[in-house]
Order: sequence, then C-alpha cells, then structure tokens
Amino acid sequence: MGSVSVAIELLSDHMDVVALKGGSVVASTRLPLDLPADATAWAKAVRVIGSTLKDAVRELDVDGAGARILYRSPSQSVDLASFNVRTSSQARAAAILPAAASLPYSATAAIVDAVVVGRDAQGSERRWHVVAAAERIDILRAIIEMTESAGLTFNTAVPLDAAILATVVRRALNWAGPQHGWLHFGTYSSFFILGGEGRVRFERSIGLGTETIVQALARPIRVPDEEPITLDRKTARAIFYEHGIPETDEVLSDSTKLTRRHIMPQIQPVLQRYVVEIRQSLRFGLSDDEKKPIEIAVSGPGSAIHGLTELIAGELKLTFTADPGNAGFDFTSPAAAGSEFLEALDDCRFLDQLNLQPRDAAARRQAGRLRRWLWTGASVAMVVIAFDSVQIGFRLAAARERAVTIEAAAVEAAAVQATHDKIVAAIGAMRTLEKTIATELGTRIDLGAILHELSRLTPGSIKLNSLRLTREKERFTALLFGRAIQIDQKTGQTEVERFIAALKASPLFQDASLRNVERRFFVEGSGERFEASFEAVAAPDPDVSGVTVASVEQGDLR
Amino acid sequence: MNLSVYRDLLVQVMMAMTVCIGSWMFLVKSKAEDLREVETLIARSRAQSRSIDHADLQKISARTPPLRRRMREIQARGSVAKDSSALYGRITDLAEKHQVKINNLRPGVEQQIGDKDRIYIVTRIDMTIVGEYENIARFLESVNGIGAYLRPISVQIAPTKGGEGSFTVIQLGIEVLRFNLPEPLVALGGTGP
Repeated sequence: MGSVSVAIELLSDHMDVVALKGGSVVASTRLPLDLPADATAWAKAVRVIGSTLKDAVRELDVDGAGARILYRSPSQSVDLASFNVRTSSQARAAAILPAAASLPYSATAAIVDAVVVGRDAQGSERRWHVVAAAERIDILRAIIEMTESAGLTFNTAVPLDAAILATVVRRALNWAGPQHGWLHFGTYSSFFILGGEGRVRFERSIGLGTETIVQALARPIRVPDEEPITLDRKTARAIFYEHGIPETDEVLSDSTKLTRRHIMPQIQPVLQRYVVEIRQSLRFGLSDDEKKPIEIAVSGPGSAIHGLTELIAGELKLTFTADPGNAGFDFTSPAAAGSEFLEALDDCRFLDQLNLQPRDAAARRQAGRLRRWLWTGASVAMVVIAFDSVQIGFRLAAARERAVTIEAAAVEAAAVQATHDKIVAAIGAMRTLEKTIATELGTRIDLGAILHELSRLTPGSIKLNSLRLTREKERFTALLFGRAIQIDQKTGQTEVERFIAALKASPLFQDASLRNVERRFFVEGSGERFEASFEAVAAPDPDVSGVTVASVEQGDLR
Repeated sequence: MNLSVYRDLLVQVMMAMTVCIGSWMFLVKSKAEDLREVETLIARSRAQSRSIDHADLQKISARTPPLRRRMREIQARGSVAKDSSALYGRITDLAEKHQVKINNLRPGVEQQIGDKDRIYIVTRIDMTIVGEYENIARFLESVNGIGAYLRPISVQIAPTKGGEGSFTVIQLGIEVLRFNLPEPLVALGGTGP
C-alpha cells in the first residue's frame, strides 16, 4: 500500500478505522462494538475483535499498513503535569514517577510514559507541561494482538484523551494574547485550561462529556400522568445530537412527545456539575485581581450541540466561543469532521512519541526497525557492490584489451631486443676474434720480397752462402753468411761494408750489422768471409690489416 | 531488548555482513585483483618497450651485412686450411707454376691453441724447395696469396751443393692457422668449428 497508514479509534461502543495517505483520510469505516466496563473483560473482548477488524482492513485495502490506535479503556490514566525544571527530559522523568505512583493498580503491571508538550513562553517560572499516560500491560497486549491479527503492523497505542489533552495544551501555549480559557467538551471527558501570553496557568480534567448527558437521557423520563419513558442509548444520543438543549415547546420525538420540560430535569444535574467544575477552575486558576470576565473557546463534540455552550455560558456569565471546526459534527459517520478522533490525529508526532506498549513488544518493534534498516543498508551495499562490479568489469575488459595490444608490442620489442643483443654480442665476438687474428698474423715477413731485396742489394763481388731466418716471438732475425771478393788488389778492399750499409738503408731490414769478418782465399781470389745479422721488417698482412677491429666497431666492414 | 530478539538480530547482522562481504569478494575483489594484475602487466610491458632505442637498433642492424661478409671470409680461409690435401695441392701447383721443386713436404699435427675466447688450430708444414733463386722468391710471394692464414716460422736458404748458377735450396717452415667462429657469431649465422 505504499505510504498509506491506518488509524483506529477504539471506543466502547464502536471502532472507527481510517486509511490515511499523507495525513489525509482516504477511506474509513465504522465497526459497532459493545465493550464491557471491566478492564479485564475489556481486554478479553478486544482480543477477539481482530477478525472483525481484519475484514475492515481488507475492505479498506490496507493490509500490512502501520496502525496507530487511539483508544479509551476502563484502566487508562491520563494526566497533565507541569514542572519548573531545567530540561525537558527532567520534566518527562518527573511526570512519569507520580503517574506511576498514582495508579489504582500495581505499577509493575502497567506501562507509563510521558511526552513534553511544550514550555511556558514567559513568566518568572517557565514550566514544562507534560502529558503522562499509563495503561495496563494486558490491555496493551490485547490491543497489539487485535491489530496484528487483523493483518496490520502495530505502531502506537495512545489514549484518545492524552492526544486531545496535548492538543488543547498546545493550543493554549500558542496563544500569545491575554487571559483566555479553553474548554474541550469531549464525548466521554472534557478538559479546561486557563492561560494566556504563551503560558498555561491552570488545567482541569472533567470526567463529563456528551455521553454523560446521553446516559442521563437514557434513564427513565418522568412524564406527568403517564408511565416514565425510557429511551435506549442510541435514541437518546440521536435526540441529543439533533435537538441539543431544545426550545421550550420543541417536540423531541414524535412518538413520545417529549419536550424540553421533560428532559431538562434529566440533564440538569450533569450540566450543573459541569458548571461547578468550570467555576471552581476559574476560582482556583485566577487570582483576585484577574477575576474579570474572560473569553472561553469551546471545542470538541460538545461545542456542536445546539444550545449547550450557550446554556453553560449563561450560567457562568462568560463568553463562550464555539470552534467552527466542530460545527456540523455528524456522530454517525466514521471519522467525521469535528470528531475527537480527527482532532487527535492532528499531531502524529505526539502519537509516535507516547510509546505505550509492553517492553517486549517495543523491543520486537525496535528489532524489526533495526532489521529493516539492516536489510535496507545491505540492499544499498549490494547495489553499490553491483555497480562497482560492473564498473570494474568494464575497466578490466578495457585493460585486458590494452594489455593484449601492449603485450604483443612487448613481445615484438623483446624479439627486437634479442636481435639487438645478438648483433652486439656478435660484434663483440668478432672484435675478440680480430684481435686474435691480428695478434697471430698481424705482422709477418714477405719472404719473396726479402729474397728480391737481397738479390738487388748484393753486389757481384759478394756471394751469399746461406741465409737463416728465425721467428722469435714477434720478430724475425736473420743470420747471413757470405764471402766478399776483394775489388781492389792494392788495398784489398771488399764491398762488405757497402753491402751492410745498403742493408741498413733498405726499408725491409733493420738493425743490420756485420758480426764476423775473416780474410780468406777463395777460388775467385782473396777476400773476406763475413757473417751479418739483421731483422726482417714485418709487413702488415694485407688480409688482416684490411679488416680491423676498429673497422668492425665503426661499421665499415666491406 | 530480550536475549532472543538480540540473538535474532545478531544472526541477521552476520547474515547481512556475510552476504555483503561474500558478494564483494565474489563480484568486486576478484575483478579488482585481476585489474591490478593486468595494470601491472601493462606498466611492465610499457617499461620494456620504452627501453628499446630504435635509432641504436637501426645503427646496429646496419652493421650486420659487413659482419656476415667478414665471417664468410674467415670461414673460407679456415676451410682452405682444413682441407690439407687441397692445401698441399695448391702449394704443389704454385711450385710447378714458378718452376721450383718441392723435395720434401712434411705436414705436422694439428694443434688447438688458446683458451675459451681465442681458440684456433695450427698446423705446421715443413718443406724443402729447390729452384732458381728468382723462382723461389716468386714462389714464396705467391704462397702468401694462397687463401689461408699462413705465417713463416723459419727459413733457411743456401745455394745447392755443387749446383750450377743460381740454384738454391730452401728449408721453409710455415704454420697454417684456422680460426673457429665464437658462439655469438655462429648464432648470427656463421658455421661452427
């Protein structure tokens, strides 16, 4: 049903059920009841009306809706307490204790609660005004059982009088004008408050209401020269609401011909009591210098009764102003405009604050509320998780796609890097190999060239016997044996010296020296046997020198 | 709040937490971990691809063709040295060409020289050659261009005993070297030893 809630007015003769949406009545129904006056019997009777209520709930289509119960039970206790304390919580605690103590039954069998309605706006003693209510646990359990068995969710159970009292007190506290009175003429009880300038000066609960007058009318009515007439309660109520305080010759019932003079003796004592209650209140509530005529605003079903407020006002010699909201109140309609029920529903916050319910029921309700919060929170968390999951899923898919691309590029890069490393390693290896080749072959002698050079440098007078070339490490040393025939008979001179000089001058030889010379006679003539040594100059190997390590490093290999 | 209500509420709290934590672990945590892994992989891959200097790579790659050519040359010289009969044939052919006579040719045993980084194989060849001085000189010149790594070790030249004119005998000792390509060069496409 969404935001639809239910309010139930549980009275002894009927039960009104209304469906509310956004504070407005969208549907209503009335169930007639006949609840006993004894509290225990009342509780028992309430328990069994759950099935009847269930039908009404179905009819209004409000299954499972939260329900506020406004009731009037034989054991209820409602009181207004006022305290001059510092905080509202102190005032509330101060109100609960005396309310519990004043119960006519054991306080352990009752639930007592109080709600702070407001505080005096000004004055030397700004008092907190607290509505305290108490109820027997079995009564409350019966109400909860009835509610839940009807398929509704129990929210609160508040005595109707407590809600009405709170409304009237709030009205008085909101009044910034001068001294004023507020009278709520209720169905079963009434409240009278004196206040002004934002303060409540005096409050009195009056145990009389329209039903008290109806009850008086239902007693046997004496009619001169005839048998007393006894109206049933329903007829008495209908006559009272239709005619109120009738005019002198007004016939109230065609069948009985009852007029004002017949019924006034019946209701006069009730009205008299009412007037006395208000007069005493004025006496107690106002100081001597304040005792001037004040205006009294009258509300409640009683204010809609023709001639009733005027009669009381005339008796008290005060001005009574009826609340126009109650005019036209139709007591036969459920939750009719101007009814106490609707007036009590005016302040739903108060109804929710006044928590009259057994501790276990309250705990169950609190647990239920926590459970609802818990699972609502869990649901929100699940939504967040799902959203997170979807979001991360998208990011993951995108990242995977990106990773595949990047990984492929990385594999390619790794392959390229491997090739790079391979080439670098090969260049390094080639460098080492070239060094080895250069070391082993870098310098070598050109034997052909040496032989050609020797042939060129050797003069005709010199005969070479042998040439021995030996490699010692990187050097080639040569040992040359030969004979030189003298070229001048007179001086005996040979060309050895010149030959050695030529060797020295040759680019193919170095360190040429004549080591041993011996004069001898040869077949060709006299001359010298000589021994010479030199070092053959090593020439770079054209193959090796053509390709060097340096050239590899420079990339000039061809 | 009485005990059973409290217990019931506690159970429900635990259930709700289990549902939420379980769902989070199943739906979010695993995906978040996967995402973290993938992002780490992406970061690593990016770092790897950034470390490659493409200009350097291009420069290095340009050196490959000359490197390969040089490897082929070394291998070609090695193969001449390796095939001893072909090598002796070439020397004999040169001797014939330059009109010298090889009286004696003694090939030695192959010797592996060097450590791990510089391995090469040396074969010593000793020969006795007889011929005219000029022819021998030309022969020796042409031996240099035989296409193998050669180095003379010892030479002894003398005129032939009782010989006529410029006939000369030469005792020649040479070494033929064969260089093995190291592994990195083999990996680049060269042939192993």
